[in-house]
Amino acid sequence: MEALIFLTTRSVINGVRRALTSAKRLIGLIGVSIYYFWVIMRPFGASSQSAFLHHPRALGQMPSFPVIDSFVFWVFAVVTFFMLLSMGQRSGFRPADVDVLFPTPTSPRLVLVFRLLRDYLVTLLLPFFFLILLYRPMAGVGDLVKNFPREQTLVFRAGFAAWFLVAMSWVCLQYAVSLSINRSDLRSDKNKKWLSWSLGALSMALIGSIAYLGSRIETMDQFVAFSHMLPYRIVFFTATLATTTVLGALQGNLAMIALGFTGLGLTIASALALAMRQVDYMYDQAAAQGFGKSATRALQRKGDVIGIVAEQARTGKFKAKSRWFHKLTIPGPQALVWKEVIVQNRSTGRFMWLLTPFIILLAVTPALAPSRAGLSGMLLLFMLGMGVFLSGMASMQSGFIELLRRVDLEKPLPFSPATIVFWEIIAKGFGPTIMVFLGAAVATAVNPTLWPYALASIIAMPTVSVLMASAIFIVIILFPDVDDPTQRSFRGLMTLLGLVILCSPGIGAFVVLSIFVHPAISAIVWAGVNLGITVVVSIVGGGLYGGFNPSE
Amino acid sequence: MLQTFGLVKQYKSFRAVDELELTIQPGEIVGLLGPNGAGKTTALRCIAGILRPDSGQILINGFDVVADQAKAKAGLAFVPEVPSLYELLTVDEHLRFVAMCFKTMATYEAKKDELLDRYDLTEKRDALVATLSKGMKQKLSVACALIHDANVFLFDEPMIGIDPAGAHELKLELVRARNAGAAILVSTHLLDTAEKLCDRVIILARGKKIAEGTVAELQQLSGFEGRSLEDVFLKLTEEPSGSPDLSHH
Repeated sequence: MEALIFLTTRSVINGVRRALTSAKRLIGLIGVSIYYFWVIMRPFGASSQSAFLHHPRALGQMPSFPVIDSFVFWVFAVVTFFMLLSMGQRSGFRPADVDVLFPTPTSPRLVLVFRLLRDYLVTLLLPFFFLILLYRPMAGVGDLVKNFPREQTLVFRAGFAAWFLVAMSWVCLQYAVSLSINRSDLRSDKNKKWLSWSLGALSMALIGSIAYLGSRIETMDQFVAFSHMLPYRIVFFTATLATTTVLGALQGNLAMIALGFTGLGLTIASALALAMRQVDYMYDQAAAQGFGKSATRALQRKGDVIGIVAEQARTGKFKAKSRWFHKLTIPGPQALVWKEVIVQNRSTGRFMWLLTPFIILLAVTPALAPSRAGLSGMLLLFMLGMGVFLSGMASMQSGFIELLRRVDLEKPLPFSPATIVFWEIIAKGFGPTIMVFLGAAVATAVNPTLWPYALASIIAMPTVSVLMASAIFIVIILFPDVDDPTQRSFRGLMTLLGLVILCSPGIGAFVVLSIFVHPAISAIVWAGVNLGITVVVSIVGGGLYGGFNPSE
Repeated sequence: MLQTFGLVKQYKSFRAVDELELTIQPGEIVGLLGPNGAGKTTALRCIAGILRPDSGQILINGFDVVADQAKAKAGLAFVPEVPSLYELLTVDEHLRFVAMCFKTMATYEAKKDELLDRYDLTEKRDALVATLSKGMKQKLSVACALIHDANVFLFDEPMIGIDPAGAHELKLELVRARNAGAAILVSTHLLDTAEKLCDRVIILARGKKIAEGTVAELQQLSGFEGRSLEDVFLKLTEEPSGSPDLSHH
């Protein structure tokens, strides 16, 4: 246990020290902190807050026990639902655990107990996370019942005591199920599929029924009846037991308290026993299957779609198909565009096709709106710009992560770094362009009077897409640590800022010119400005790319 | 001493290791050869107690790796092919962690300095593992294997990524360990190294042992006398179905 505690504490201390001693990481951390403060804290003082949240009127009469029971139940039920969704996921061992820890004589039971305790401590903190996010509404509820301090304290204390057991129940259940279904044999594979489908179906049924029945609630009695429906009480059984405990404390009913605690205690004991019985499979599951999923999860966190598809190909879940454009011969740096089209087609292609109907819908909306052609036209351009933004955000970042990852492959090519960057940027802008063309065509077919703006979008939007690629590239090359979560969030913010800065000159020129000349002519100027900025970004970015060292 | 009896490891419907029998005596270096996907790494991971065999038995110094894990692993050191290390520990802390796991803190300080010096890691002792080069990580992985008193060593492609001086030092280390009475199993694709270093060689293909013996024995049995181990290996692995079953020799 001493070794495991040493490993955890040193990793945390070194991680924090590393984050605080690197300027780039520190900037990222500060940026993320400011962002969250802005998003979460600012609305507390904003005037948009409802009067209820600012000045809740304290209740004169204590709510009835069934009402309190209902509210407490749903608080626990929401947490239980999230726990349920993560059921069966692997226990999160790292590759280093497999190579370093597993071959040592450290007992797997000890490792399991340590991980249970560690995960338990993390799970216990979950309410604090909700507290940070929902501080104001929670404080509002507190004000609402401020006339009943004794009851308030009782509910709070009993609720926390129950939460200690609920959290432990789910941590133990998580390990018991994970160790059972994530082994490398065929039977557990079948069990896993069965569990995934069942959980999926159950979640859909729960969300659907809660949304349907919840929308019909008009009175408190209906809410209480809804909250006491047996299927919910069974599915969210830990919430039911926790609620029993809380209500028992509130009513001074020892039998209810005992029932709740005993139920939760039995859940913990049986789940723990089940997990311990399977402990011999823990290392095997982490080593045999853990890498693929943990690698995929890490790639998902990075937004690395190409990496995910590569991982799928490695495990045989993805097979490449040859298309007509794969056979084209394109000499020179333009070959980078050809390469990118193939890579995008195999990686983000499926997602782009799923996004296409949505973008067409965006484009059709202004075509159907009963307003002046000029206004609808501007709206069409805005919608198509949104389409470029959405599809670009989905595909471009992943493409540039791939560019940095393949630096050893592309830098030796017989082109200058600026040329490589320019054609890579052009290539990344290719996918969203196709959707713009489709959207513009459909919008014109629906409302032919919009043709000047559709034409303008066909002229300008490809360059907007390219400009967006420029902004994303500049931000990625400046903050290339894709593994650092603080930089990831910060990179998102910087990308938005970069987009605003780079896109503003062209949009400004277009808006001013379109007052005097035909939108298509204004669009030519807009496209020219965009291309000019792209060239400048390519030259600057080329310099950064030329000096980029992935080992640093 | 290391022994496996009928070792089988299956990934779903794919049998990665098939009825593997091997014995490595104290003071012996045995090379584990085979084409890519032959099951070498899986076999080593089963022996190291990382993967659970579907059937068969693995004994390390007479202790069963599955039934008596702690005792079996106490005498074992494993160096993986591409070591994944704890990136947020320093070099010093990494060695310390491994020593703590093996409960060999009494000899840790003296051994650590010697190993850091031998593998050119002294200057990097306070550096985070994340900042090390690939070769340095490999050296640290080897140092971790040597920090406790193991007498059974498993090396999975140990020379990959290490500079010539490091590779030379590692070969000397293997010889030193053999002379001290350790049983060593080395998986490698470097056939010339295997030829020079190993006392015996085991060849795996599709999870099965297809040949075992000294280089001279394999040359004789394959009909390639006087030829290099590379020629013998290619001959034995080119057509597994048609190759002679030499596993009993």
